[in-house]
Amino acid sequence: MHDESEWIRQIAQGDESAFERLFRCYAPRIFRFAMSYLNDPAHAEEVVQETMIAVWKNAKDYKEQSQLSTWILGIARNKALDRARARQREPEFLREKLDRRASARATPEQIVQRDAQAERVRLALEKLSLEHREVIMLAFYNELSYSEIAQILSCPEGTVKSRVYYAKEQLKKLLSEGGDL
Amino acid sequence: MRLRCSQELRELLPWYANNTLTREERTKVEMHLSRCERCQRELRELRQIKEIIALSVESPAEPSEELLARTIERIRSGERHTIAQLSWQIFALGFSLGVLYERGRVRLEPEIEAFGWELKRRKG
Repeated sequence: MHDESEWIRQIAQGDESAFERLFRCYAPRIFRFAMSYLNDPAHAEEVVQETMIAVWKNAKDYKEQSQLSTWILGIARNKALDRARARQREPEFLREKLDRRASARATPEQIVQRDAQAERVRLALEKLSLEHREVIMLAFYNELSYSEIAQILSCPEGTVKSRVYYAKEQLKKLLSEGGDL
Repeated sequence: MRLRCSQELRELLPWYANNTLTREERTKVEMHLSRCERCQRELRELRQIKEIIALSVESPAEPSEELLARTIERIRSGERHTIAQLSWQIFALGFSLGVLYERGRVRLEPEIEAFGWELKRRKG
């Protein structure tokens, strides 16, 4: 069992090997987290990089009362939101690559069908408010617990639970209209 | 018979579906699910939502192998830049103080000045 708190203490003293261990442990998780905000691997990698550089620089400020994972994902959230806002000012980045997804084993009809469904789901998600979309992705895509989400969003656990409940009701309605549920 | 489901229990279902409840909460939800068709249906829908949301996100699911090396390089180049910048600032400050001293605008502490004269005397 690795001791993440010890890694952070070592990183605060400039230990690169501890940083590498933490990076290997967290990069896939931050990447997946950033994908749920940006849906673009290149941008998600940038978020991983910026987040881990911030961890390197601010390791001495980490307070052990909070969970390390939620501290790191909280940083990643700010980086992802900044990037998402910046991207909205660049229309050429928007909605560009759903057609790149393909599976070697799927038939062309299945790929078309799956891509069409993915597009409908994305459109349904886009119709939700940012707050609702965010909790849905954190709960169902990133599979975080309600207490982790509450820490990342800095809000009470009860708010997270009721927000997910209402967001899911709305999403369910939108997906049923498209015949996906 | 139709059971009345408390808001508290229904609000736990998404977290039951993503497998993050505590053991105690899980047991509570399972006991309720075994008797409530409405919540069973709700859970099926939640699992379906979870599956189709995964579809909406672009692959791949992992960052590239070189990302660690690129990040470490960026940290190192940032630090090199900071050291270079700091060295330049110290040099600029020393140079400015030297110029001001030469022009008589800055007076050093008498002890430092005396030490300077002493060094000059010994060398000379």
